[in-house]
Amino acid sequence: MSSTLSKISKNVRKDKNTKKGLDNLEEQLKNSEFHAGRGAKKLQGTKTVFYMRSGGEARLFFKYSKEEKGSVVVIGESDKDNEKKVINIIKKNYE
Amino acid sequence: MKFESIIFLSDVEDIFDDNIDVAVKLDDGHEYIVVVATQKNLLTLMNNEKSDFLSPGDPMIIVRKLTKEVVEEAIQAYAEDDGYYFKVYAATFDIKTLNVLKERKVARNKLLDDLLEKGESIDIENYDLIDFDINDL
Repeated sequence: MSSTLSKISKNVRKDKNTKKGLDNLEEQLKNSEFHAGRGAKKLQGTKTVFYMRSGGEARLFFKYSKEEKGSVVVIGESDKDNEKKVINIIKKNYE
Repeated sequence: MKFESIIFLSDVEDIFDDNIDVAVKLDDGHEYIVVVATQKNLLTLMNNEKSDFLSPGDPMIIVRKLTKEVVEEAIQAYAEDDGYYFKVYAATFDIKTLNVLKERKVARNKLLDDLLEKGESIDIENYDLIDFDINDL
């Protein structure tokens, strides 16, 4: 995760409900439960980035690993207030 | 109130069965993210959750189909009356803020009751109700 995205992640995780939502999404991502919450979506304008959304604030951005086939890498976390900002950063840095 | 721009943050896979995050900028300059879903997608989400109800979450604007025209029409309707319902649907509050808002409403009602009892004007839109202590009511 880039330093800016790490800062945003740390900041949004200060909210208890968002943290809980992100923790749940991470667990569901590990278990390949892509339908969890409001479902996973491919990020518009990218070829390889997807994001999962909780029913609340949490948004978890990930891409498939180049090194290990089938495994995923979390590249960003946000709440709704930071969603557009995180999306713009990711679009600049990932295909 | 009107919207300045509406951006779909992801592609729609099925216009009759999907939900997406939509970034909306209102003409007061504020930006919001709101989830827009189709009625059919509510059932899909419950089926995905293997549940007879939709798990608790932020409110979603429900549309018959997820096209730009319908979403714009819906958001414009929600943005009427100073954007009241749109702001309710797009609100992102922590629990402490929600409690303060509820207490502010209690304070507002108490003030109205007091003014009515005194026979004074209940035109209170200019009253500053932010600085109140719920314990003083």
